[in-house]
Amino acid sequence: MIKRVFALALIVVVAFFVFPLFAGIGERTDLGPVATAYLEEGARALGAANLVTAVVVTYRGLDTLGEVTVLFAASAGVALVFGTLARRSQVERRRRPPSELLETGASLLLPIIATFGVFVFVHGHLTPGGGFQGGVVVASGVLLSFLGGTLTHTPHRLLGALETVAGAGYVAIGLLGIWLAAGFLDPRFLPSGEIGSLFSGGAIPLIYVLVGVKVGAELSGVIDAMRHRSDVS
Amino acid sequence: MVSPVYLIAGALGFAFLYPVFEAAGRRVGRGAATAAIAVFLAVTVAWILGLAAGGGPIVSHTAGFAAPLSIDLMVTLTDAVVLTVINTVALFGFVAMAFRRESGWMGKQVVLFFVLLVGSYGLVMTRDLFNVFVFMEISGIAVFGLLGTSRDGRAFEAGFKYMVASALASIFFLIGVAFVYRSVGSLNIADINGSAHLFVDGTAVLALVFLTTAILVELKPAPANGWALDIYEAADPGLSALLSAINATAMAMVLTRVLPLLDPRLLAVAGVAAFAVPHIQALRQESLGRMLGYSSVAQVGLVVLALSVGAPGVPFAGIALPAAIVLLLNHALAKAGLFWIASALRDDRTGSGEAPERAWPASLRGRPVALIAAAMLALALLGLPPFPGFWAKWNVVTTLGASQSYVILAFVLGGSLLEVVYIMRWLVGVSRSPGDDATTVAERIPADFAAPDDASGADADEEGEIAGAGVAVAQEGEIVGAGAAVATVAAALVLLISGLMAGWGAGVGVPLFIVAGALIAFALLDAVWIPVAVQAVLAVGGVGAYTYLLVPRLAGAPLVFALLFGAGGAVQMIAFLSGPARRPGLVSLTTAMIAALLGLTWADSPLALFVLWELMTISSFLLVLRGHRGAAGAFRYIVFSLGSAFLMLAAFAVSNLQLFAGGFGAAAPGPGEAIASLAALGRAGSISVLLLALAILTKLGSVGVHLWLPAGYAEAEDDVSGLLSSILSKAGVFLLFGGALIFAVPLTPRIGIDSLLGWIGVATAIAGAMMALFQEDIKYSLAYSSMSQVGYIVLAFAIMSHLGWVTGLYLSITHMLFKGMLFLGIAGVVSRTGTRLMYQMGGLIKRMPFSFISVLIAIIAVSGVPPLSGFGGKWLLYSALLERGWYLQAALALFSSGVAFLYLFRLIHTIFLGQRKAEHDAVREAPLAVLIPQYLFIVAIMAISMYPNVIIKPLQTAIEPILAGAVSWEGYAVITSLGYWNGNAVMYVTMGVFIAPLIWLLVVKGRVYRVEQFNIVYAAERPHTPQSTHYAYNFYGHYKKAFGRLTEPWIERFWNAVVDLTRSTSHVFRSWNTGNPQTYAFQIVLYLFLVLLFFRGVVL
Amino acid sequence: MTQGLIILSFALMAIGMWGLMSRRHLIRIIIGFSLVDTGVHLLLVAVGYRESGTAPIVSDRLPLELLARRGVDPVPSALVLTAIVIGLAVTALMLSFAVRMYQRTRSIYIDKNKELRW
Repeated sequence: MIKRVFALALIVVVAFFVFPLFAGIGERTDLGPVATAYLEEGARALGAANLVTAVVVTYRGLDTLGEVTVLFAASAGVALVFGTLARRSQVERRRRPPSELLETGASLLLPIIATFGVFVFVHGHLTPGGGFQGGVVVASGVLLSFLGGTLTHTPHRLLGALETVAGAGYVAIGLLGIWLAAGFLDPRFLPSGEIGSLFSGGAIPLIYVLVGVKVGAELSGVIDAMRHRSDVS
Repeated sequence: MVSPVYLIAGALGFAFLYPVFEAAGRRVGRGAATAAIAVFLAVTVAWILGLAAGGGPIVSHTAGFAAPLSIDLMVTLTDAVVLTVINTVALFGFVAMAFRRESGWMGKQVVLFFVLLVGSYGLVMTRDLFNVFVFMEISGIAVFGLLGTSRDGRAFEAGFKYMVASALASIFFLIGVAFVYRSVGSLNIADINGSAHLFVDGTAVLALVFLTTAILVELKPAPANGWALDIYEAADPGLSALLSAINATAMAMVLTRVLPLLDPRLLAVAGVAAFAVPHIQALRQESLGRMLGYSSVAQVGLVVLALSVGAPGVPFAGIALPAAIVLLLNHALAKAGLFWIASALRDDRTGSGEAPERAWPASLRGRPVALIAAAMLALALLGLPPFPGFWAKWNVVTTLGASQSYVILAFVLGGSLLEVVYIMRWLVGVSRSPGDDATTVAERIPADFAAPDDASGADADEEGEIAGAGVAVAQEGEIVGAGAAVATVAAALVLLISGLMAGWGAGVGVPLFIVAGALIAFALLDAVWIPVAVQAVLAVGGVGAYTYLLVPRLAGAPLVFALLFGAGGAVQMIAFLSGPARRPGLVSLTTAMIAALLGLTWADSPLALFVLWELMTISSFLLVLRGHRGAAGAFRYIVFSLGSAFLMLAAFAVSNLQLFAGGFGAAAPGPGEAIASLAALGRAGSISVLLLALAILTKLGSVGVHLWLPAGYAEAEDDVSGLLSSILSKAGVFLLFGGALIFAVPLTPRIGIDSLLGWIGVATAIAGAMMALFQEDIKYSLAYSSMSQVGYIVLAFAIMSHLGWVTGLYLSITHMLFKGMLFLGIAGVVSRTGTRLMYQMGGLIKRMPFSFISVLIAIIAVSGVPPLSGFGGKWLLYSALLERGWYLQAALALFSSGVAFLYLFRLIHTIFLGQRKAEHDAVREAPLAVLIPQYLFIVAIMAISMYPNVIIKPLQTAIEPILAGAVSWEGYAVITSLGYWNGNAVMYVTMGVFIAPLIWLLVVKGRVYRVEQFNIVYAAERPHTPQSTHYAYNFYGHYKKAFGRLTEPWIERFWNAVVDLTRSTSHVFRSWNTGNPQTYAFQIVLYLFLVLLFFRGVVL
Repeated sequence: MTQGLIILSFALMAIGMWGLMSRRHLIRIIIGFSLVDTGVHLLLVAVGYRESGTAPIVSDRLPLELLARRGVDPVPSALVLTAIVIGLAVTALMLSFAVRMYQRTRSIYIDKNKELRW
């Protein structure tokens, strides 16, 4: 109890000191120099209609590579955390079978979800969305099919291979950027095409496809690890 | 040069592709991974070479745009060095983890290891604030994942806490990033630093508050760091090594990036807290992992503190950054190495546990490589020379002194001393002799000799208990994996070499290299099984040659002491010719100690002096540790000695390097100038002299700080004790005389440091003599006698007159001679009889006549009766005391001499006279090699006694430039204002007085009544056990009744109370780390709040 | 608008912190963390907003020429994307550790899972 009082008191006191500092914040009408440069030249320079994608994949591409790495590490970490348990998944406890509604719904929705996911990451440079969002959508399809019982056996080898190929491919594209264009992860070694068309933005769509595949595979791996091992007692 | 981005792309690509390699077999995977790290290492080394040759930093623009549009990676020379160390640790660490016999890393663990590397590379190279966040998370998540595979189930709990803490740090970082971006409009760190003027109010201040807190929290600052310690305790030590070395190093580099935005005062406060608090908390750690963890967080705190150091008004200038980087690198290698040892040992004990089975880690004796590596790493961690951390710490501390930041200085040195306590306790634990329970700090009397009073009853119980418990020694099988061994040794070597190079750069090269060279050369001879006798001959030659080369360059006190150290040391080392052929480390450490002492005499700067002082301390500590039951004594010795060394460091810093400016070299100012420069410092000058005096008194074992001395001298090996007591004890004396008149600086107008010294000298003389009186163990008796004699020397010095100083130097020389003789004589006796307890000996005069003569002459010399040299010393001393008007001191010194006579009489009486024990009927004379040095010393003593002017005149010449004399000569007679002493005449008269009764006694010999050995009438006491009726047991029992109260161990009690107080304080401090992640979250928010208050207090 | 969003985001963080520091149930603590995380994401988005701006995507409604005048700052949007993914990764790991702590001590309460201390 006393702990909660202290915690509350501390939060209130910090807030008391922090909130007055917000007084002078007004609306911005002009952007900073970097943002202005992106908005003025980014679309033309890279051929990507979605400026956020241009920033994410190219200007701050190193962040994104890092982000993929984080997810990759987290997926490996979750697998390791549960991996030290004896492989008791063989003696998996009997689950309640999925209801008919869930089962039918899952098998009906799966292709749609998968297609939508692929659409999202393929069109990342044109519309809101991108590799991560698409990958997550795909993984949610995998989760649904686990729940619906359509997928009982996890294709570990396939997931592993996808992760490796997509990850190494991403790095390879980055290196191609150095050798064929101006720098690491520079997408301009492919033609930038016409702004707004599917084949535009240089290598951006390619990167997003790889990111989508990788994120989908990794999250599926996380779901699988949690599903198989976390209910063991 | 290779573009920085390849390092990240390479490591990341390898992480992604690793499953392919491992599919071809685990060996292939391991090999490929090792090769990959080696390539990364090669790249960073190439960067160092390239950048050192000149040219700007290597930059790579990502995405083909320049910053701030895209993210820049940049490598400066500093970065290249840091990356090289990271890669070095990574290479060793990977070898240690992947090549170990059981549960070696594989699969996703290797992958995560490479991800961790990517994160660290990124943290060091990126110049974009948000990118820092990404790499922070990459390393963080890799560590979390690796934690998940720890053997210890508690790792999950620890990991959870760590995640909560680092999640908060990340959130703070992001808040900071958001507001920074809003204020500056760019995330490029150069742009942000360039806009420092913007961070004055509103959300910009908030940006700094959150950003600073986030980076500091990632550095695990005390007192908001409980979670970090849980990790160190529960994680696999191999992982802890990476965490402590790689992660912390990379994060510290992030802090250096944003320095221009930070207020050095904030860093100083945060750094002091982060450095001092963990050391207090660590004192009671029973888990090695956790203890090393506390040390790690503290060391990072020191780096933060070092970054804040600079000239006043010019933060971060000059030494701050290089010193911080060197501290980081030193810590990275040393700590990683210690963790690898911990991992290989699988022994989590620290020596701090209360329960016996938790007390001491297994001994590493018999595993020389591991032992040497452990010692080197521990010394490096503590920032002792010659390791790189020392040079950095020296810079930090002296700069603190120059900028008059005395409070910070006190915290730094006090914290360092606490670290000495717990790290050395562990080191003593792993390096003690098998069979040593590391509790021996006083003489031990076997259980069947219960003393009449109850005090030693407890000892007896303890003895039995320990005999039953036995002492664990690390077995072959307990060392797991060659990988860790390779890694540890490599880390230690890298530290040693870089440290020696730093020493060369700092201008201390030659004396340092001589010491290190002696140490290494003889250690190598040990390694190839060259017998001790051969080594001893080489060592005697080497020391002789060094002294011979040195003598023509010296004058004054340095010359006197160089001869004392060199000749005294070389002669006593002759004794090593006897004894076992294999005594690893003996000659190596002894020679190093003497070389360090000799080096002291021609040190030409305070730095050189201090380096050699510390080297002398370390090598003698290890010598004591070699003793059979030396562990506890060695532990006390090193704690007090390093305490003394840190006091000296403080003195140098406070005096702004005016003390011993120029050392004893040509550049040294004359005595007058030295005093003038100290006087110019005002109060700081006299404080620094006081600190120096305290340091020296501690090192001399003056009463009050003498606790280390009895066991330190007595528990060393028998033929080493003499070296320690006769030569090593003169190091402090040398500094007294070498410091010339600075000790005459008054503390206050009424109290002079010299009169304090004088009283302490007298008190030490009496206390030592009284303690010596009641010892049953002959070596303890001699050790206390040493303490007493050094007390006389201090007293003589404190007189601050020509005559007093001549006396001091004269006493130093004669004490060296007779204490060397006594200890060697006793060493011979002990080696033949196998006991050190006097009542177990007796009647050895007929079996060991040569030893008897030597001991007899020595005790005549010590006790100050005519005709030998001791008389001259006493005569000079009293004359000088009376001249100065110190009558009370003179009376007390006289009393102390009487006591000295008693214990010396007991020594000769109970060992050589009386009846011989039946079991000693067959003992032989001491080995020739032990007798030779004694007889060489006898020759010297006789010469000095007969012809005092031979020695006194040169001493006068040595002192003349400083204190003009009032002593004149007439033939062989010394004439002072109070009378004269004619050594020749005294000798003849005394001989006559002595020989007449001797002849008479020989005539009446037949009528002697023989007292039976167990004659209880003689003892006149009720026998408790049969043996206690032996006349030699409790020899001075009647005096004990009269004076026993004086020898009550109240000083021991005082220090025990200090220890208890520290331990309970330690517990109070560590209770702050409750183990609950919510408490830790609370602490982190509180930390944020304090930083916020700091900024608002300063800015608004 | 911006000021309101910032205050809102800090309020959200405060609520999350309260949950993180006061709940005993591990999952609730993690939920508290997620709330704080979301608050930060909101803050990032708020920082990038410009008055009457719109998403910086070239389309029929926002031709290339108007982009520089009407588009909001794309950088915070990019940052928030990365931050979300990282938050997801951290949450996943936290949950896995919570599960393993529960498996070890059979208690999902934080005060039963603090063996390591001092």
